Amino acid sequence: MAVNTENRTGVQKAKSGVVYLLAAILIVVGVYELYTIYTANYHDDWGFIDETYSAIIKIIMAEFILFDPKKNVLRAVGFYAISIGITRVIASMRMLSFVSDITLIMGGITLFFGVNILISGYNYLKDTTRGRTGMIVGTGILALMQTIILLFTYETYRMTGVLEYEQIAPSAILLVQYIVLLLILDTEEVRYGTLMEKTNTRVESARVTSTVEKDFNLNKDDADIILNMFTDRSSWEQMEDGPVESETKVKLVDGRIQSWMVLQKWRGSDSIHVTMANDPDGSIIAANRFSVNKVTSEYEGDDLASLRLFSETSLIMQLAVQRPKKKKKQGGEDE
Amino acid sequence: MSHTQALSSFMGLVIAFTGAYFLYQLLFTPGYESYPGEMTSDLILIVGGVFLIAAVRKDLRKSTTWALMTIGLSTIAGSVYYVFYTTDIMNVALANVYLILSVILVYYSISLIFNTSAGSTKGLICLGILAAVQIVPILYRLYMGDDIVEQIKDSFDRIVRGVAYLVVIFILTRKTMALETLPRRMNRNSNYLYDVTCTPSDAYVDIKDYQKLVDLPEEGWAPCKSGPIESEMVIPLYNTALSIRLQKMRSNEDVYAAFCSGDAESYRVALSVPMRSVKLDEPDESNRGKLRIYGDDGVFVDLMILDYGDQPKGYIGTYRYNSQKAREKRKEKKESQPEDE
Repeated sequence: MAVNTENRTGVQKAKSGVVYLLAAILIVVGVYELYTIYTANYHDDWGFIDETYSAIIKIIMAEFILFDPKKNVLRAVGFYAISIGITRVIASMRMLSFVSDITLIMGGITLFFGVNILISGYNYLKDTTRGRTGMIVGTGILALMQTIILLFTYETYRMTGVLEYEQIAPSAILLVQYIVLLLILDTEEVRYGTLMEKTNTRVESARVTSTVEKDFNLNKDDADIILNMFTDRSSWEQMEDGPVESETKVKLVDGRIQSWMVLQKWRGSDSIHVTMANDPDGSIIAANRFSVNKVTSEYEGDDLASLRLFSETSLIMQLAVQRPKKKKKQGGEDE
Repeated sequence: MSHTQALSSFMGLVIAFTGAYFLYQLLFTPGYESYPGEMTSDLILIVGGVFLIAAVRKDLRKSTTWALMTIGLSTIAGSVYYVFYTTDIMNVALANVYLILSVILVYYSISLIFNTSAGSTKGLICLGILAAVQIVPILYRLYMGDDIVEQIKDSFDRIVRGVAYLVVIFILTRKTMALETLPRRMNRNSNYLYDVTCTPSDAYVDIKDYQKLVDLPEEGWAPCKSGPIESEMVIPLYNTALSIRLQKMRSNEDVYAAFCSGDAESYRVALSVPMRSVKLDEPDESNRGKLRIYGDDGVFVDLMILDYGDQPKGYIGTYRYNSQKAREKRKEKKESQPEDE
């Protein structure tokens, strides 16, 4: 029985990389906006207020991401989305104050999707990815709007030959922010954070520890461990004290939801006691437990094809075993 | 009266008062130009509101359904005349909007009755649009520079109706009034089943509690008046709904660890293990350890040992945890002070 020391895997490092990437984007954009505020001439007060608040909110949210005691991808996306949501709502107020029809419409769209992203972002802080599809659509439409603005600016440049950096920079920066959010919304962490996915994860965990799928195959090494559980336990962990004499683990299902068999030989018992669990290094309380008294095997030629586990009175389960891949002869016939 | 009942009653009151206000206007305001269907609309609100308070306030689903249905039917009754018998294009357009939204509202309330719709979100969206149609023109006029007092006088009826809708929306979005959507119901149900069929592997016992499982304490046992159990001690588990009840039996010296589905008055024992022996991996410098309880016939339980204080909690969780610790410290300090001081 060993404590899992939880080594940092490449996946975990990538996840924390995403967290720092989001914070870095917000800081860079916020600082850039602060820089432009003091170098640009604003025609109206609202523009100045909009830019200042946007910059400050982005920097504050970046700090929230960096110093979050519960730092994870979902919460980082939440803070990032909140910063985008709030800044879009503020920006839409400015647009709604214009009399031009097209700006009014764009202001309305920005306000609607800004509020949607804001609410979704808040939900992400509670570890539930509410409305991921809506958020993707909203962010996509906002990104599309910025793309159109950039295209218009480019066409104007082609017609007039004049291109001012200040005209394209805000749209380009916003577009980058939206694209980053769109990319992260499709990561595994976010996908599996919806209520339905969480429900499915639990149901799947219960399934893999309660039963085996009909197309399940045990690998050859694990099949040998199970087949020889009564005759050869030399590879098992030997316990010096306590009721358990020796113990080993066999992985049944490999994937996002794992299933393991913990096999134990107890002192004074002829049976092998089996406990099926999702993670043998974590806590095991309620689990699928049974005792095996006999194992039989079926062969296809020389290859082990399946195992049957029996209790004292009845069959418990049958497990198919992976067959070695057959090499094909040149004529296409199996060897 | 429960919180849900009180809010349902308040919702009924708001609906009935709105109807009563418009009926009073219609009957007693000199020069008031009423239109066909208006009295029916007001009466529906009054009757619906009173019925909600008197008969259906105890059932959240029924009261939500009734509130949405009342508002929907009342708005239909008030809009029909404008749709079919007037020529003013703006009135016809607005009445059409009301009518369509109200029909949708009634449809959703019916689907709530028959349980084909799980939550009230769609109904709330309809109500939100109805409220926006009432309030937004007023806000627009204020934005364009109209005097606020004049606006309130001119549009008082609109304000009453809009605010009534907003109050109903506010009530229906309270935590105690929220109807569970299908995903939320599935999430809650799967949570219960998951905990009693295959415990989450990140469940753990707090570092300050694990010693109780290794060396059973002399004190802290709650006596049981009847049954085979003499006394019990509850040890909380984290990251799972399960908790441990250590149980001393009357008939023998055995101590059982019963893993129960919660600490509430009702619970189910998911697993009961006679504690034959306990093997401990002492917590290391990072406060992580593990203990194994052996029972009979191959049954064992593994429990991670972690420090609850070290676990990530988020900003609000950390603030609450620190506040609780500070309160406990103050209490300890107070208790340790000599009584004569």
